[in-house]
Amino acid sequence: MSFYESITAAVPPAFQNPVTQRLDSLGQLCSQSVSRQWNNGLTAAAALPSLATPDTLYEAWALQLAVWQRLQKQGEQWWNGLAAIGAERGELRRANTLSKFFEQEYNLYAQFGELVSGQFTNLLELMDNIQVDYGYWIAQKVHAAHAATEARPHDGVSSTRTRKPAVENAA
Amino acid sequence: MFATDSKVVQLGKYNVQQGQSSVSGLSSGAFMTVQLHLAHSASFVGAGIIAGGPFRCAETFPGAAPVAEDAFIQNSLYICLNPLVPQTAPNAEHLARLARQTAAAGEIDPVEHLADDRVYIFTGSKDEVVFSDTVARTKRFYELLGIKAEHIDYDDTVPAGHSIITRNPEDSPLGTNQPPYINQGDFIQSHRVLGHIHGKLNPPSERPSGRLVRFDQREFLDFLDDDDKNARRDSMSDYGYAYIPKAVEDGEPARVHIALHGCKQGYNYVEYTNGRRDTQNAPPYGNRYVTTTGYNELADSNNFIILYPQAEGTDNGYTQNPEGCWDWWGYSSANAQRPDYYSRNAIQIRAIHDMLKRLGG
Repeated sequence: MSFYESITAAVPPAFQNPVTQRLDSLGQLCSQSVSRQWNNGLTAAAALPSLATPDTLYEAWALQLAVWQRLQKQGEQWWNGLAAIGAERGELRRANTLSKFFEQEYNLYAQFGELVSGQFTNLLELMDNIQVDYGYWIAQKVHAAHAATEARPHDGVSSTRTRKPAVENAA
Repeated sequence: MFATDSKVVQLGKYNVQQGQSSVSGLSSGAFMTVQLHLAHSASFVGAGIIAGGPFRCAETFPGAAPVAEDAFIQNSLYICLNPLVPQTAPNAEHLARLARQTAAAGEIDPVEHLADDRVYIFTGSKDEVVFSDTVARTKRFYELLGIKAEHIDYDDTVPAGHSIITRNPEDSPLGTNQPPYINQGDFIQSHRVLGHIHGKLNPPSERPSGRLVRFDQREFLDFLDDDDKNARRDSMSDYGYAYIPKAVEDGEPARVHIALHGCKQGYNYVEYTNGRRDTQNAPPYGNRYVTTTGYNELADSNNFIILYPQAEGTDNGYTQNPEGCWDWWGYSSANAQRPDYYSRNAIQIRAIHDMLKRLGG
């Protein structure tokens, strides 16, 4: 049983209704997000001084650039979506029935709602994407640094102990 | 174009050459292709991977989340499908080691069977669903498992979106990334797949004389216990299809090729709109993957049986697969702590391999 499952199991049955479970799920995901962010920050702070090589800095810059490009693309989708809705409104002609009139109006509001919801979902997805990828990247860096340290020969000092083999990539 | 009559037949046995089968797929079908290829490498001579990632890709970075199930999904979305940069794409070295460990544990066939296999790997340079950085790692993964460089046809030169490519005028423009993920280009990709894996082939039939049969997939899922059946962990449709050339029906020696569709491409795919199955607006493309991607015409002139297993959408609180994808991130596993979506015992892999065995492969 996982940590979260054991917490859920400890909740009295009266509170285990669908609404509570959804809130619990939301709480878990939010705390995961915060802890991932916190963990990434701590790991980076601890590791970066020793990893500040040109390659690592370049990769960090490339990550930032990739995020900026995703945001830029999302921005384009937003403006294109708005433009399409605006164009559709401009093309609307008179309605012959009251029901048709309301259908035309509702369609535009629904399209706008879908655009907003899509943008919000994409933004949350990008946030998760950044956290997971950044955590994965820094974990690989830290592991590679540890492996390199363990594999480094100790000049001038002979040792009778068998050195542990360097573990390859983390992940 | 092919039509089936309304009969549901039982999948038959034919004069199939054992160990000469192959498998290919697009997207989730490509991830499943890799899994099936590794799980049963003794049965296959090669694989065609169109926009797919390496074996157990969803287990690349377990540290993504404290809950194993969440970590699998987050890995699949953000490392296997959409890595921000090449450095955050799946780690081929790690996954090749994992494959060897899985083989050593007896969960898949020994990887030595892969040595002489031939693999076709494709990524469109405009693919926005499975990024090319991931597919490049699939190539590296196979190299690390000992497949010779000259046996790998890796193509990343075509400006295609996420799709299997045909020459059909009714298919989507080449660079698009939209359902049904069948795009029009200037070649027929299924022919390239079969040609690379099996060597020189006869030209495709202009008037195929075989039959497209509909068979009941449920008989291949009889091994499921009631809990798994109720949870729909298999996420497979009631029916699958197979193309049987006339000569094969008459007893000629045959080979089997398994063609796996991608997400949203099963014959009974229904979109989930605002979380609800939108049965009033089911996509109109039905079984286009089965009838229009070019496999059957080439099969007809070269005595291939083409097996088209079908997955369907399930989103019931136990099994989260609304888009009808093949399982490459563990949704069919009852226990997320010990997922089993990649081994010979995985529900879908076992069912598909049993179909292959029934055909005689």
